[in-house]
Amino acid sequence: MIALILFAASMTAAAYFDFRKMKREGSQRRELIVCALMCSAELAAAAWYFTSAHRQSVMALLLELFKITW
Amino acid sequence: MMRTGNNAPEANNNIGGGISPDNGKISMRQTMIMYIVACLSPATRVFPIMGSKYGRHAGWVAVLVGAAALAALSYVFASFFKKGESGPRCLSDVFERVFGKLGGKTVIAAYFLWAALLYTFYIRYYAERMLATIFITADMRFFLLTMMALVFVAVRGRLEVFARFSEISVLLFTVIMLALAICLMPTFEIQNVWPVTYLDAVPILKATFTMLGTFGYLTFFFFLGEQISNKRDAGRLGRKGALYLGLMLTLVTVICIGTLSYRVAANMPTPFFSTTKLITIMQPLDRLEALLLSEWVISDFIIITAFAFILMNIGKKLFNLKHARYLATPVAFFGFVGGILIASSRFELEAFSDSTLAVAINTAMSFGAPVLTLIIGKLRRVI
Repeated sequence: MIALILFAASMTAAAYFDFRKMKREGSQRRELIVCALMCSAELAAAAWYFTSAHRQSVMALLLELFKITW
Repeated sequence: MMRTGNNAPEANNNIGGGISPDNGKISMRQTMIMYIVACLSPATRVFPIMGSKYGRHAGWVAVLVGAAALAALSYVFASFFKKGESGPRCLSDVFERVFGKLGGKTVIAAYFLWAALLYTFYIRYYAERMLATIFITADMRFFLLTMMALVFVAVRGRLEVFARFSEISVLLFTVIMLALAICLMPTFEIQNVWPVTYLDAVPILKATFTMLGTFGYLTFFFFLGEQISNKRDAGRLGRKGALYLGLMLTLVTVICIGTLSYRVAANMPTPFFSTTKLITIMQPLDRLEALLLSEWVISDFIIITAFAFILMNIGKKLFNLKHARYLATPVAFFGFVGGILIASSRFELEAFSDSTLAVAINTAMSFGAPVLTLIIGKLRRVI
């Protein structure tokens, strides 16, 4: 949980300063939304990893998919 | 922050992407060097295993065949960018010209996904290697965190600084590799790698196929095309780069097979590391594998940061952003999350590396797609 809080705090801080800079440089709303969505998705993935008990890795899913298709 | 000539203030406004035509660019030579150092980490790990497994005692010849294919691939890129400033500026532009707006975006999205997978794959492999070699009881997340902190700083900086770091690293790598090769001469047995006859042609080709994906990472570096100045020299410099990479990696593979024999090397997780453990110079001087490990960490840092820059540049085109550096924070943090989510153990990574479909996709993305694009582009007369 501490790792998650540290990760979320550092990411939010870095993203906040980035967004301030982007606004100062006159970025479009769409660009801000793209970056915000990416950051949110990563935060959600991190939260899921640190809190979930039964995790399936991406590699395991891909290997399973390869077995089906190959 | 480093300054470049009289245009330093403008250059500082263009950190990491959205570069103006006159500054903030790296040369084609620097790109090749960056690619070479980035390739060394996966190639040193994979080539001795794949060479031994499929090519048996002649596995080292497969590296030379792969290098020849790389030299040929570099001419494909030279054809893409032969028109200079009036032609496409990066590989994303090439795809959009050849396949149209929608088709181009689809191909770029496929490259984005595959590059993201490789990015997290190499981050995790770096941490797993540290655990497997020296820090057996350490927490993997510590290595992920330290590496990603470094990558975060690097991707927020300028590509030129990173390219210069690669130039220094390639010299270091050459010196260390040659020194290790000389030290391993007494344990090398020529009958383990010779004779190579025409009967070895099929095993050599099989081994080459597994290596092509790694050689073909050059393709991904052309997504940085907007920041590369003399792309027309891709053919000439690609040939030189292929020669250097071919010789260095043949040296690595031939030493592993010659020292351990192909039966042993094929079943080891890190054959080159195990080979360097055999070095003892007049009894007191041994444990030189630490040199190799430090070099591996540098190469890992370069491949991870290079893929981060590549992801940022593909993302810039895919999402129509003004600057690639807007994606620096999401991409760097994605490395940490992706590194822990990508696999639950080292065995999954190795299973993925050995998977025929993964090797085929890698080869198709790095070799097949550029060649196919060139053929279609020539037929449609857009290249």
